[in-house]
Amino acid sequence: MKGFKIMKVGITVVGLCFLSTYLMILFVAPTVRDNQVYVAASIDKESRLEEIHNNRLVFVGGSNLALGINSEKMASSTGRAVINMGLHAGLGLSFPLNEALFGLKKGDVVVLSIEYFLSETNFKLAAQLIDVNPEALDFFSLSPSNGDLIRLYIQSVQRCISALFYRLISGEKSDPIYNRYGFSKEGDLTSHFGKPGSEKIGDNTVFTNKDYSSEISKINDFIVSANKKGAIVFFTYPSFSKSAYMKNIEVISKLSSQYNAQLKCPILGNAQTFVLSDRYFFDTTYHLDSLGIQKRTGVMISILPSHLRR
Amino acid sequence: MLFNSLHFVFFFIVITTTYYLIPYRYRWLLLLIGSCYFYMAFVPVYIIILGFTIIVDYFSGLYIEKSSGKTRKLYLVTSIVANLSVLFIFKYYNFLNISFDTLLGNIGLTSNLPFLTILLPIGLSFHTFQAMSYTIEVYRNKQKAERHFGIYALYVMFYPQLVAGPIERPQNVLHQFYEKHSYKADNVAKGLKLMAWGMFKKVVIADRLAVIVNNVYDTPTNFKGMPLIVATILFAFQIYCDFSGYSDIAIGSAHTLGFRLMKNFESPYFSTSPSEFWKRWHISLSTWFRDYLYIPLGGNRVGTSRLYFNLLVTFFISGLWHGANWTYIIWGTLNGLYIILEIMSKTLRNSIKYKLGLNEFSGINRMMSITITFSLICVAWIFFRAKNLSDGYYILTHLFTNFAGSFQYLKPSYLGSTLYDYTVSLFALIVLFFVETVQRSTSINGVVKSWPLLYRVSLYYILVMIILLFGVFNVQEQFIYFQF
Repeated sequence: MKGFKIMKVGITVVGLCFLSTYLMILFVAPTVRDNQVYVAASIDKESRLEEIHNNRLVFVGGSNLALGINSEKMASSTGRAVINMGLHAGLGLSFPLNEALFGLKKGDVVVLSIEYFLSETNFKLAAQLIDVNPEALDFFSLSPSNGDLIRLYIQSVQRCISALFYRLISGEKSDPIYNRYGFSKEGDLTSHFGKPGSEKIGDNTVFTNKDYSSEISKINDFIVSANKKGAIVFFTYPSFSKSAYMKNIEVISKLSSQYNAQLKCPILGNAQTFVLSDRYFFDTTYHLDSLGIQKRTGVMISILPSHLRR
Repeated sequence: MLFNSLHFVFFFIVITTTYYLIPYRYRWLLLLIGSCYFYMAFVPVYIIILGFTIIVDYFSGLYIEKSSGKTRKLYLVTSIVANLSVLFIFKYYNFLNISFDTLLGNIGLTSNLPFLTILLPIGLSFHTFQAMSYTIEVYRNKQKAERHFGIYALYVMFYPQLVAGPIERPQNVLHQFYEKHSYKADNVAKGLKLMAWGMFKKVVIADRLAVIVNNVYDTPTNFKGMPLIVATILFAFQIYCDFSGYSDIAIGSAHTLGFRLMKNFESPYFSTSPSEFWKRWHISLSTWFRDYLYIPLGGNRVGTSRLYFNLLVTFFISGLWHGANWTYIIWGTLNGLYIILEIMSKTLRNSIKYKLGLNEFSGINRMMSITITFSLICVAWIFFRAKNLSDGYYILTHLFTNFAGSFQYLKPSYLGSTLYDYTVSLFALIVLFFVETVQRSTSINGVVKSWPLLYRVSLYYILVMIILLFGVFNVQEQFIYFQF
């Protein structure tokens, strides 16, 4: 009898928890939803990928691209319509690859610029993205057996609570720089131009040596699928601050060797090609300011067209 | 398999339900298979190492019991050497190799010893120590050698305490595998409550504090003053909530099956002296070292200098047990030195208290002792958490640098956190403090049990909701003590 009672209590508690969290998502989430949030830019980037039909140059990666290239300049020097899909490394490796692959067309030129050791998805960020762009759920490689869906569900509930908290204490909405409307139509973030960045860049980034083979094989799968669709893929290194590079030089060179040995596409330049002085960075070791963006774009323009002619 | 994973939730439900449904005579087999599965979820091949330890110690136990005199001792030594060899190869070989190489490098020589590229089996130090306690107790005639191989294997592998303790003694656990645990709702309810409390400590407090602590301790040279102090204090709470949370889940999950495991923590930060702290912190390890190292060395029934030596050796080895790194050795030795200083300064401290009249104000006296002890323990934690000695030294020497000016760097953004995380952490720590304070005088479980059903259901609902709403689930954090 007592065993039955414990089961009843357990089921009641679990049922109540499920019900209240579900109600929270149903009723609280829409009231705290912020359609201007940074990751909502994925909607615009996906639309552009769908709307432009030919002669495209598609950049795929994380925020090193969002705050890393001048698409207009790239377009004029390559004669191609540029679509900068770069958004946020926290979305993991699978998301940008799957998102881009879905929209790729015959004749596309794809440039992959993946942050160092990019791998796992931050579920908090994924929940924020899915809240504003529910279709994006399909682009995450979630494993139900690992409890990914449950974790995403919990993050969605937690997002409601934290958003409510900020609403209550400050009424604050989107970040003044990192928001959806800070992007150009090509997908470059420009809202940080002329704004003061961080005083110190690069000291916090410390990589630990890790075998990146399984992630490289994911990238290779993308390359093969893109090729099947009739697209050409190039790989390039992200922009990276000099001080952080010097701190991680050994680990990065080991990763580069892995890329050289295993990647199934041409590599534009090497890790050092996109290492720039700290003064060109805005707030992290990957995010360039306007001058840095001009510099990186210049380097990219000096390499990419010659590869395209081959 | 991590206790804070969905995988474990399913595993736990299946094992616990099946345990009570199947006939008593098959239960040991279920637990053994379950424990093997639990362990193999990490790195399957390492079950071979565990199997080796189990076989050696099982037969050692039998032979120790049968033999006498020097042969008896020889079997014990064989068992201990076999256990320590495994520990040495997997945990200490590379460390000693590097240290030896550095030493030779100072005189212009190099050693050509190869480095082993092997992964440390999870929880190796825990199950090795548990296995060693068995043969030692058999040798001391305090435990009969176990005849049933499966039961002995289960003693070493019992999944709740397999990878991070509590490090049990055979006298406490072995006989429990023969007990007929009939289903008792109270056991299950008490176990589940303990597990929920452990989860709260782990995912709501420890994993949230980890963000700030990691941010500072990964690159300590970026900080000076207050951020270093705050990160160190937060680490003290992080490691406590991480490890005691793990212990609560372990003890609770064993309790749901009817097993009683030893207590591992008893509000350690309320200790009024370092020696009291070590009676309340990681109790199963402290008592292991007390029984199998400190007392055999002579314990405290020796002269003063020998006593100090015994303490230093015990804490030095305790530090080394935690990890093959000088930082752990410094941490252990520092804690040993604290206790020596405590003994040496006893008369002086008493006379100061007497002169200041503090003896008449026991509350203030106690608060001061708790604060001083906590501060000393935090200083030692610096070396435990620091990646290397130079980071540890930097932190220690910059705790008060630019002290007044460093307050501005406590802003959440500087420490890789958010205002929301700060607020949740603060409230969670208040809850922890409240519960631990109440628990010192009353059994919370007893109080809750006397409540009407509706109140109890509401409390469980609130606890589970707090875990769901405020727990950190976006990245799965390992338990800190798994690495040992």
